[in-house]
Amino acid sequence: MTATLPSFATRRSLPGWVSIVALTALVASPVIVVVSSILDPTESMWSELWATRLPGMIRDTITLALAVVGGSLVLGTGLAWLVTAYEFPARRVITWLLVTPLAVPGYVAGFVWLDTLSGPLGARGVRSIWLCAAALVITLYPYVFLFARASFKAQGADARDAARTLGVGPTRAFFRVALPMARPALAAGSALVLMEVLTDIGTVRLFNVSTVADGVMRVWFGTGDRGAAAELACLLVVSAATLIALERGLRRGARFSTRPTENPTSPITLSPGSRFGILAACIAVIIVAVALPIVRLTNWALDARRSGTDRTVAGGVWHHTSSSLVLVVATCLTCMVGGITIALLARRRGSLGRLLSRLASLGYAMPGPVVAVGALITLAAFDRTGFVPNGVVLIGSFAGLVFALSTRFMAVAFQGIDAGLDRVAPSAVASARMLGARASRVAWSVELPAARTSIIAATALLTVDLMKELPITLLLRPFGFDSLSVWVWQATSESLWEQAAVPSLVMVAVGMLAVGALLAALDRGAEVTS
Amino acid sequence: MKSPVTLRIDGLSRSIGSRRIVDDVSFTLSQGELLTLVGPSGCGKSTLLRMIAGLEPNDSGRVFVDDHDITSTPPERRHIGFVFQEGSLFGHLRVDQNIAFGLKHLSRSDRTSRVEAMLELVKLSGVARRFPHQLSGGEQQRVALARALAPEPRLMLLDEPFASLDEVLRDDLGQQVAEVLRSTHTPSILVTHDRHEALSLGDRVAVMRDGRLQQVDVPEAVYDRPTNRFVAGFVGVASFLPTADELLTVVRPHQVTVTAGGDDRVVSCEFTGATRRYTVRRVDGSIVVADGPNADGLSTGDACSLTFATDQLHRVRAET
Repeated sequence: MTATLPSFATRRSLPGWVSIVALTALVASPVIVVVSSILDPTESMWSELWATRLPGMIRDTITLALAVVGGSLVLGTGLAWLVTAYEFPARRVITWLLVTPLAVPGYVAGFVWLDTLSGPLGARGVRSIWLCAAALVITLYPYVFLFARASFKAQGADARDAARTLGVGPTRAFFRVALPMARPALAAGSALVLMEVLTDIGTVRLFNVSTVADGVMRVWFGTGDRGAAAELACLLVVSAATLIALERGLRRGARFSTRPTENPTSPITLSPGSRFGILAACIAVIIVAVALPIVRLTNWALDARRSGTDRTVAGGVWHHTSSSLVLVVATCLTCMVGGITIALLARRRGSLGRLLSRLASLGYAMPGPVVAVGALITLAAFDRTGFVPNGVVLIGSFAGLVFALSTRFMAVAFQGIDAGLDRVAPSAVASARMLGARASRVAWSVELPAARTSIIAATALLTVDLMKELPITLLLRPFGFDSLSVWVWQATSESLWEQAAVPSLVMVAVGMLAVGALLAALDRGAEVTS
Repeated sequence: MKSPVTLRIDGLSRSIGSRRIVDDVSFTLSQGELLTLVGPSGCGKSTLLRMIAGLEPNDSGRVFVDDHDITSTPPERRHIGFVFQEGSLFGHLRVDQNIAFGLKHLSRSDRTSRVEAMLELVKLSGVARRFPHQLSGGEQQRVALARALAPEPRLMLLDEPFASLDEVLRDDLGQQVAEVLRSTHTPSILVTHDRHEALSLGDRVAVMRDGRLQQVDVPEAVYDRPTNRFVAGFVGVASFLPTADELLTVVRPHQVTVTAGGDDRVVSCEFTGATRRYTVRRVDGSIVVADGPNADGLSTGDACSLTFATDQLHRVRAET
């Protein structure tokens, strides 16, 4: 629910308008560039692709997307229901552990399970689209889990109790009430999962699944034709937009209360047997998604250390870790400053402000390769204009990479902050103004402090996302700049699991810390957003 | 002739930690009766209601409906209707689907006609195909009532159903709901923290405090002959005058007349519409609240004297 935004009697300052329009234009430009590329299609590429690989690519992309979204929905929703509706030993720890797979990139879980299962299944049998889907499900279901958990908690006990007094038992009440009421949350979680699947290039490559995203990368590296890559990327944009619009349409007029209830769900206490069953199911998921990958990675890392292959030509693990961290911090800062600016400026500018902020969020709804292609074209245009000082080239620069990552992830910061600001009572803002504070002071001393937990949650989520990020970094990194994810990509494309283990472990460790911060912030009142 | 007992509560108790939320509560409810359960917030009235519905466990005591012990029956098999404070309508279902929710056991045509009958009963036939959020707060609560009544429950429980509505709407809706409940002869318990609602709607009123029932009786008795000082003060404005035998005399504002001149003094004077409400400090220091006609013209600081309608006055124990 959006609170009524205070609109004060004041002139909207020109600098405010200029900064929000400029910022939005900058952030949205890569996406707009890609989408407009379809206006001038490269017919030769399309006819060739259509005759050869395109039908298979589309089929695999759809199959993979459906399987991963479906699997994540079942796993994420089911687990979220277990941890909110029932009481069992170590419920809080288990809840945290169930989110930690978010810290494991799909391509890391992918190569661990690829190697683990290649014994029983054989080297050919293991490279199947279904195992690829499974690897993605166990690393992406936490998105659905987080949204579903938030929704089940917000529903509170009233809906469930109402169902029970109408003669419907607790299990049927889940299917008839809790699940349908959580639908918008499940859709939001699924949309994130869908984006990640459409973005994925690392996992699909491991399992020899050729999706459209994989095709974009192949066109890029194979022909170097950016225009053609951009056009192919458009396919991803169209399919993502179609699926999201379809769900919105199916929702019709139904509204789903998200008003926090005063009567929180009290978890049901079960018999010792059932309690043990729930615990065992959760632990099984944790073993498959986190524990086993960490154990195997540790073994490989030790092997690599013994054989001296725990470093690349560029340097050791510290070199790559610091590259990754510098990139994460720089991008986080950019996204936060941009996100806060857009959130604060857009709120007081009515429907036009809302439109601008939505435009600036577009990047998050775009798969990584799309943003990378768009950012590259935008950067090239900047380089050509001559605005940049002599001798400085944005393409292939660190600044260019941060720009590209920020255009995709700005929305994570913006939406988190915006949700936090929504909780500031309009009357508190009005009171501050009546007490003589100017808008800027209200922002600093009233609005942003109230959004503190949301800012922490958004930063944590950004860190998790950025640590794993592969396609944009791979396409736009400066020469010789190897983040941990790039190191993993290079090692795994040659099936050198031992060498990939060291950077993978570091990524997982940083990610798990961030997940811990995320959950702590969520439990202190931040909201999950999409 | 007394109607047969539908609900019998026998020594129901519940503690959370060391706090007794509901403390040894016993009462009965007869066929077709509307009982209002009133008390300050946090007195345990909602918990008691939820225990009767089976939504909260009890530590001791029994609940009987039509002489069947349902103390350990899960809520979905008790056939008890429940109307929650607000927002318990299923937002993903239309009004008619909400009302049909508890009617899975009926055939499709029976279900449709029952839903129609319920909508007519609460005078909302026009909104069957709307979603809950498209209705006003009062309409939503009428739908919630229709939904709870649709499966023809043995008993109806309403947990402050009008708490979130504004006052004008609340009075109106209260009368409407009481009418609907009486027309279906459903024995009901209505929880409220509003004493006017409790007195005006209930066939009997139960006053609760700190988990214990203080008095269960017809509204006139609770108002005129309260069992203790708390009940007297809770169900209406009252002044308490000490007596020789450690009892207190309860004086309602209409049971005392203020006249100009004398040893007592008007401390404050408040215009309430039809009458003027005086707060008077008597010579002995005690304070008495009295209603007088607007024409009296007494104002703050004036000397006055009080005359009590001695034959109507009731005495209660001094301890609360």
